[in-house]
Amino acid sequence: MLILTTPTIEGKKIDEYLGLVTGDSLLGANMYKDMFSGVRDVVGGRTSKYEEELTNARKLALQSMQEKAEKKGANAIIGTRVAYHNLGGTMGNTIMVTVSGTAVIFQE
Amino acid sequence: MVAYRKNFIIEKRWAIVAILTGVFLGFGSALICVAWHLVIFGFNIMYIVSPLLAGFAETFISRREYGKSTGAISALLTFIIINGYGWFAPGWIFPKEPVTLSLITIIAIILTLQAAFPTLINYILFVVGVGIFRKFIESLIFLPSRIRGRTLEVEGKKEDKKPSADEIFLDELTVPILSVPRLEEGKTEKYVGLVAGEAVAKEKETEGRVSKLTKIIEPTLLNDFYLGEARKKAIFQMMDEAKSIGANTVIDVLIDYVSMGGLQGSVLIVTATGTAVIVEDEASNFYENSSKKVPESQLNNKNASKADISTNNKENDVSRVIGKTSGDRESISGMNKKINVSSIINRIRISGQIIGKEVVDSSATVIGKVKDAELNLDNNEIEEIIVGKGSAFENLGLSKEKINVPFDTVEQIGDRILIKKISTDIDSNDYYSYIESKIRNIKI
Repeated sequence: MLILTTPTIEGKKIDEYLGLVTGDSLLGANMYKDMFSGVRDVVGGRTSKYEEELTNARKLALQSMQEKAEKKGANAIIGTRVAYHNLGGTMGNTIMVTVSGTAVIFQE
Repeated sequence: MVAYRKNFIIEKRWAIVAILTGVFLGFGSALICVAWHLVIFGFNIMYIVSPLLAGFAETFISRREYGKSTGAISALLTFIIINGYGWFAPGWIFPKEPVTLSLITIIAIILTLQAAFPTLINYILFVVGVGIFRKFIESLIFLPSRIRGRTLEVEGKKEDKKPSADEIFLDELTVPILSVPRLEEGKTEKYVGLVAGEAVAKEKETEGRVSKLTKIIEPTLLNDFYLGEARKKAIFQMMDEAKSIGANTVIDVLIDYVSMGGLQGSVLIVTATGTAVIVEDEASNFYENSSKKVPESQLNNKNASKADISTNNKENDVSRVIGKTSGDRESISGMNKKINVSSIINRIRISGQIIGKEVVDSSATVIGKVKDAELNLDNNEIEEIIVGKGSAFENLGLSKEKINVPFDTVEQIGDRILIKKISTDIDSNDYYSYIESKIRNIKI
């Protein structure tokens, strides 16, 4: 499955537009984890935990979008946008990763 | 109106039952506690047990029958009743047990209130409380510097006029990455797929460890973030991914910044997303378009691009051509070198792996921690590592001693970095000066 952020596939003809497909995933970054990452920063570590989890969240979102597109019979998703949102709160906060794109069938 | 009120009561009957049960249980347990003199540490346990019991019973019933929690209203009521009894009621039936305002009472009050109004109390505890704590710590930390009549360094020096680091790196790429969705005139050979990179913008580390602690709770400034670093990291993570799936550039790149809030100051995520593509030719194409000349350069470029491990000669050719065709890019042509994507990524990776590691010499003397690494831009090799002595004074930001250790003395890099001890009979202070003199010799 070809997933692109561009609105067109250069040199390829798009046969059919199948419509919008989306995917999302939540990444709980709760207060306690937050505190730990703060502590790790203090003692000289790195906040790579967040980055790893972000990557995982993004992959999950993309995967669910891809599954939806496959169900529609698409062979590519174009115009994909990946967005990261912060859902706040006093007790902790959650990162939401959303992806959306257009499922299409193009001539390979 | 009456009917509405009736409905309301019927609807809430289980909530009311729950609260009443809770109050009854709480007060009953309090009476038992007083009657039996259940005293621990000179303190009657009812102040803690009764509200807890009341709250537990109430929550249990309301969860089960009413469907949702009512908050710990009964715990609060119990607490008020007990204390009201202790303070104001004449002690007819039971001996009076007036509450003295001790630490335990305060904690019990906070616990009870927290159960009743979680959001409000958490706000007070974590925002107001932490704020007060911060002011307190701050005044403690700045006290010594105030006494010495010197302020701690607050502002970083801003002297560099050259483009910031990530711009240089982007200029060094043989294939530029683009934020536009398509290249002109069908140069895209193959689309590979979506790639993305994320990085957390860390706050700048201050010199001392104590001021690091205040940084946690201090409001952040834009200057406090390694924003450029994070952006660079996100971009390179994205490009790394693109390279790993066989693409040679990324188009339609979107860089986004998301705040992650957080109680100890804000954390920023920098994300970069784009489409990995294989374009048919490398750098020269883009510059050629702007100034149509040098046909032989294309040949050189093609050779350069085909051989991943391109020789210096050809790379120099490429850069010379680019320097010629785009006059405004003096800074790059001045550097007179082109480095391919993977080597830049390697560079960042290497320095990232080394920095922060402990440096130990072969006689197990800890020298310090790696602060930075000097890289030779020509062959991507580390020339020397800069080691901070890591003493307690340095952690407090009072001393800034650094040692440059030439990289050829490094024997092994693992969790720690092992360096050769050149002579065994010099003690460690002499050793520093020995190494320093050696470096001086190298530099001359």
